[in-house]
Amino acid sequence: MTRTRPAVVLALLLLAAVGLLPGGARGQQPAAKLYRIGVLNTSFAKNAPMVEGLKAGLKQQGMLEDRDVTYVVRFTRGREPELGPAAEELVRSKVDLIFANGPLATRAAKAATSAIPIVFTVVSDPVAAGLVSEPARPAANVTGVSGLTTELVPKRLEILKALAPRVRRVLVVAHPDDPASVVAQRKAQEVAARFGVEILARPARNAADVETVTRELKAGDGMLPPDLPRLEVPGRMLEVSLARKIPAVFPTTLWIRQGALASYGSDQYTEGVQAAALVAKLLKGARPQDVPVEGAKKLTLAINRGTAKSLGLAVPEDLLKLADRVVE
Amino acid sequence: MKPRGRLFRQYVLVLAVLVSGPLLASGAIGVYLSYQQNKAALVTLQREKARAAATKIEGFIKDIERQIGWTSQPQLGPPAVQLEQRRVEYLRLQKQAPAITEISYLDAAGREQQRISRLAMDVAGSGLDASREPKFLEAKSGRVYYGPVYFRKESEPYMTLAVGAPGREGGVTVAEVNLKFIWDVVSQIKVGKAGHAFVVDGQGALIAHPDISLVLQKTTLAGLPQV
Repeated sequence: MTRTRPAVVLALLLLAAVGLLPGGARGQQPAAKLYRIGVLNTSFAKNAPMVEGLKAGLKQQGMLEDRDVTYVVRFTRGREPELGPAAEELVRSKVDLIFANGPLATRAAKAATSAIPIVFTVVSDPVAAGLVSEPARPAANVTGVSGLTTELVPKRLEILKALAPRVRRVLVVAHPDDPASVVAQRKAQEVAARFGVEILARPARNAADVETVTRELKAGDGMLPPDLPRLEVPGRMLEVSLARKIPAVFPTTLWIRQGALASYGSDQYTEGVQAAALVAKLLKGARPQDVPVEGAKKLTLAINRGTAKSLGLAVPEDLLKLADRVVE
Repeated sequence: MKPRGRLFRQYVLVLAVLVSGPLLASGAIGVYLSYQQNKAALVTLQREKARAAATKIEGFIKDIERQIGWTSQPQLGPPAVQLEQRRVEYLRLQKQAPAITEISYLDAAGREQQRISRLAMDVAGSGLDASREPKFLEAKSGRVYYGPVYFRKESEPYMTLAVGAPGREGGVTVAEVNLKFIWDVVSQIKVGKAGHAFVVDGQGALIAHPDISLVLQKTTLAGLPQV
């Protein structure tokens, strides 16, 4: 009995294998996975433009909300101390990816995890912000879409000169704690000679500082406000620019409706759409090292004709034609 | 009892082997054959998709080429007027074709007279001499110049296109095209669950693939039978 018992077991196994074989050839479809994307924002609402963009972009990629992806959104209403705990909460809840917006949120996410992939948008200069050292080959788990703000400084100066040819001095403000704005300020100084302007490089941490540094401005000066995660400084600069009729070119379309003369740069919604391609790749298993940081593909030139008129400036025809958005 | 039990068990064993052996064999052959069939069908499908991708990409490039061609028509009037008119044309082109990052104009002698860019400063009258470069020579001889793929910032694929204006006095319009825009075309082409389309240039070097890391590593696919 002991000699044939194993043989019987083997025989039964063989029969079982045969029984399963025709079924095995059918192949198996793995159940579609529902990915969880953690969203970390300093915005004041759940639906910030870049998140809307991400959803639209993922839809284009065939990933629909509630069927392929769901979102766990944490927005801190501008309160930065809440970013750290919010990031840690997302990590604890084991999201598959973190979509972080702005350098502060991205830094908080990076501090909370080195394993979960992080995709950023609304970051003007990821290298200056210390988020990636080599954009083409992210070394850590962080990648995303760069707003190219530093790179576009010469273009903004160009637009300023095209709108206000008589400008000779340009105030360029940087926030000392925001490395990207400091790098942008330096870039302005490097190219100033090409435009025949003098750059007034000044630091400003808040509205009061803006008041101080703008005191030295005279008629015939211009301004290049920085792209900062906190809106206080550029916001005050906008008010000064309108009150004292000083032309200023902003780095994002955000300010145009508020009355900014002009802006040239990326916008949050399109960055979200662009980021969707990166997010889809990472969710499907790519490593962040293989998903390079991308420069924003779509740059928007916006001009406010009403403001131009009140500043006594004539908008050149070709600039008007080139503009993607013209606001009256 | 014992010898009969053993005999019975041996019969069961032999029967089991005799039945399951051939069944297993035929099952295995069946799986193998259907795999081969599927593979053949997939290759055909992939070829179709690759052809579709190639057509789309060609269409994309031709479209840009056509738009460049319109702007490189000879301008009339004194040089200053020509310059201004051309600038307007180029700005319009820049607005219409998001894939074009930079447009420049080389005069009939191959010197750069104008350059407009989405990212960098516009430059007027630099006089940079490109008279010996293939982009000028080929375009001037009446052919459209398609440059090799090169990378900006180590990760952004670009291609130079140059179109010449007719006539001896005609110059050449040179455009730097951001190929990330066709990557969108290529990456959206799906072949089943795991297949995807990719693009190789004339020499078999990989220039577009949904998995960008392969492109960055300057992978060459010259050895593949499909290439």
